[in-house]
Amino acid sequence: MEKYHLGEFEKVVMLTVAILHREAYGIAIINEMEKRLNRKVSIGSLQTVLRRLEKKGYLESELGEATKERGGKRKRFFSFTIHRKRVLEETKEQRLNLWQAIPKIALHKA
Amino acid sequence: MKLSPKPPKLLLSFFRWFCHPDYLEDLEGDLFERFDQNLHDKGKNKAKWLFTLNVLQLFRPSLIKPLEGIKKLNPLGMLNHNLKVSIRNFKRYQTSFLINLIGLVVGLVASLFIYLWVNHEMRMDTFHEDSGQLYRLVSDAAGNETLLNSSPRFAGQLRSEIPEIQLMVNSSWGQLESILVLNREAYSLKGEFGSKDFFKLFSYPLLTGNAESLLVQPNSIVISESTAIKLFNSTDVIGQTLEWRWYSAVEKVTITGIYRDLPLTSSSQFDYVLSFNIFEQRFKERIERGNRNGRTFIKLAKGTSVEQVNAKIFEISRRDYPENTSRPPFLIGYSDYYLHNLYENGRPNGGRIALVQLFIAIGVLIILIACINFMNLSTARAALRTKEIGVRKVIGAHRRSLIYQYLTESCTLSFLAGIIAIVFVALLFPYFQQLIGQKISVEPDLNMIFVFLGIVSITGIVAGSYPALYLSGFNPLLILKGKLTTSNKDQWLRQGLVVFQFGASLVLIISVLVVYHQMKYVQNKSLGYKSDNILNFETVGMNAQKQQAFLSEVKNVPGVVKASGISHALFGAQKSSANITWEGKDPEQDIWFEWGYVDYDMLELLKIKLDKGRFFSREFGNENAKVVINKTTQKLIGVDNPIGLKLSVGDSSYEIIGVMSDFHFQSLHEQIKPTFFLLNNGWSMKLAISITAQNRHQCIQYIEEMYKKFNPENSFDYSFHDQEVQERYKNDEKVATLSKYASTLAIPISCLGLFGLVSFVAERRSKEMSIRKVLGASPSSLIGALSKDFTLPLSLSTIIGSLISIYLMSNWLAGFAYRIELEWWFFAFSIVLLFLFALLISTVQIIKTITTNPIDSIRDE
Repeated sequence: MEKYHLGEFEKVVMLTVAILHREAYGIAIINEMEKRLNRKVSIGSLQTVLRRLEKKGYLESELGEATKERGGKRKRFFSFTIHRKRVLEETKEQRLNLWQAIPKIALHKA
Repeated sequence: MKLSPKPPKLLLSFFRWFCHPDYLEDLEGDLFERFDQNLHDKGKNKAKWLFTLNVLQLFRPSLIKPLEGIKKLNPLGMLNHNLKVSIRNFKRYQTSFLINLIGLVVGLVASLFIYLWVNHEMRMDTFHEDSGQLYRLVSDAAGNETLLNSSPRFAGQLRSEIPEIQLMVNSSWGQLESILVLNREAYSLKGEFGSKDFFKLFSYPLLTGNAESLLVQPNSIVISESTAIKLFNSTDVIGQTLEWRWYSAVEKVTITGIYRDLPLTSSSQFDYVLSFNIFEQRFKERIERGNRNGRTFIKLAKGTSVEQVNAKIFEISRRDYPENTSRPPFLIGYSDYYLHNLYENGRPNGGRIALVQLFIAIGVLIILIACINFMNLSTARAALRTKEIGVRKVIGAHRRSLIYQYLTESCTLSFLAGIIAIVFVALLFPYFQQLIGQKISVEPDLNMIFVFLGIVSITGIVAGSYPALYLSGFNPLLILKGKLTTSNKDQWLRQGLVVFQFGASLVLIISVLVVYHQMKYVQNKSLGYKSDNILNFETVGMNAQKQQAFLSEVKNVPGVVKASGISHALFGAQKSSANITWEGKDPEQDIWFEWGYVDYDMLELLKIKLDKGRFFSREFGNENAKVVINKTTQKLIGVDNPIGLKLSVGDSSYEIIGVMSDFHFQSLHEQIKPTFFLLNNGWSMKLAISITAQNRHQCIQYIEEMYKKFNPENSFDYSFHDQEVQERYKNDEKVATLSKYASTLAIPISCLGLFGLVSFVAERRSKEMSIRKVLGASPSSLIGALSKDFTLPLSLSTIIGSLISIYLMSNWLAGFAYRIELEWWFFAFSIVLLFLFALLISTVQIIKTITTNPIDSIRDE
């Protein structure tokens, strides 16, 4: 069991980082989330979550190369640690198990 | 190409200011990218607006710069490191470590003692509840001295007219040495009088009894715990009766309560309190006349301004006594009086507080001298540690962390010294109390711990601040290239510190000399009368007849030279400007006289010299209308031969029969006052017996036996007059002891500092000296070369020190009306002494340097 329970937004951010794979930096994550989830995300709230996840060891980050864009500032790319990837997979399986355990009838009624 | 719009500058710089530097770069990039996107999608204005929003949303705790700075070094780790380096340095430079440590320990011991004493003095009388609301009614006397007594009648009037007065207690003019008799056994004890609210106004802790009702009944007495034990060997004594005696007064009194023994922080110490009615009855007439023969203590209501009450007292006094133009009575703080016991024109003007301030100044001075040792030695050693500093700086140490390092070093040292000092203070405390002749109450509380920590850390910081700032300011490049040379400025500073140290020591030595000689002068100056081998005692319970019989009997005791009586203490008491007039006196002149009633033989007993005329003598029959004056009075009258002239005291007129040479009844602080003596009618308050110096002990025993015969119920409590004379100089004696001990502390500390400095310089210049030696320099020229560094600052310090001590000492001497002159040899002697110490210390080191084989110091290069 994990000591730290990820919140919903945190999970979404982690999944998005996973989706972007090696291209996950601030604005890219925001764009991806806005595109896929149709959800407004501010830089501030996203960055807070990213730093927190990094501090807890769920994410790693490194600075990229400087380009002419972005006022010459480097991008910070976030990526998964392998261990954390496994944790995320486990969570997913647990969820699926839960889904599968629901009797069909309950879903029909709903 | 058209320049694309930029994000708002102000917001950008705001962002750069608050953002955590670790995140700054990529976040700023994100902001720019977003701005460009928005610019493209939504237009310039919207983009700018969104940029603003984004920046503001980034302003959150997780992203802003931490308050304590960016570099999060482990502070504990650094401290650990600094401590380790400090200890290594202590081990490496043991001599200077020991010099610093000893200096600081001595300095701290001295200042901790001084703190304990000052703390005791400051707490005096503050243990009473609402001590800020307690006041004492006093009035001026003779313009510059405060007559502390007040008139009980006037006080009663104030009580009824001034509603701000919450409580008022009347008491006698002072504590009375009186006798308590239980089952025919007499005990001589110190008594206080108090009207009914005495124990409500003062918070003397009670053992038994209710503060409300202790002194309400007439003739009640409240005794202290130890008095109860002394008299009854029990504290269960409520309701017991005692007999109280004071001179001819005898009263039966009933014990209504017992108070715990008074704390040391009570300025007033007494064995029992009597209800005021006894005093009132005995001095009824005088009180009704409005004599100022009592003390009045007042508690004002909370929040009352004492100025307002004083103004009211002023009005009442002017209204009811318009003929009295002198300053009316006024209130002074009860607990203030202990330290501020000298008043001038109604304003506090020195007193004991001056002594307290002197103590504090000396404490600070000694600590400072010790701090200077540390400063001097560590800046001097700087040369040896420059490499360390250079390497640290190159590795990336901030100046601040170097400063911390040196402060850690000095604070470690001062804390170490502090701990050792506490041990010494605890061990030496009884001796300290003996030394200052005073019991001190020490109540360890949080405050004291804070003050201790404060003293120790301020010492550490003061000692460490200069080296820390100085050493951390070196340029690493120059250090590592080996091009750093200590500049003239540093040398000046170091020598300046030596000048200060030795100047201060010199001031102390000179003070010791001057104070010592003045005290010797005071003791040896002919007082104009005989003061040694004179016993004097109060005559409790003897009427005139008995006294006369005793006096004539006691003269037969072997060893007794003369015996007589006088109306007051032999040593300055009664002062009165009682309308004393003579022919041709300027009616405006208001002069204070000392006067008293004496018995026959008194003046012969005191061996007062006669200038003109004669003393009282039985041969001339009734001499009650005659007076003997002193020389000062004669000068005042302004006649060459006043014999036969008349002197009026009140309504009576006296014929002058003799003029005495001047003599000092007062302390030598005071000018001789005009004095005259009248003949008493056989009864005296005090008796004096002069005895021979041989077999004193046996003689006193005989006298005591005789006294017991005449006065079996009272004990024979005598004192030697010359000892009473000494009492007058108690404060001066304290100054004498203080300066003696302060200088015995300061001189070694200063010498230690000089020793350290000399040994360091000798070490640093050992190569130079060796080369000189190889080239054929004589030992004397080597000594000259080495000691040159110290002769100049030492000479300078003698000049400055002498000037300061001239100023200080002439100020101190100005307090004596009769004093020594500042002699040149005080200074010469002190300077020679100081130089001798300095020379002795430096020559040891210098000789060590010049006798070493030059090979030892120059071969390794």
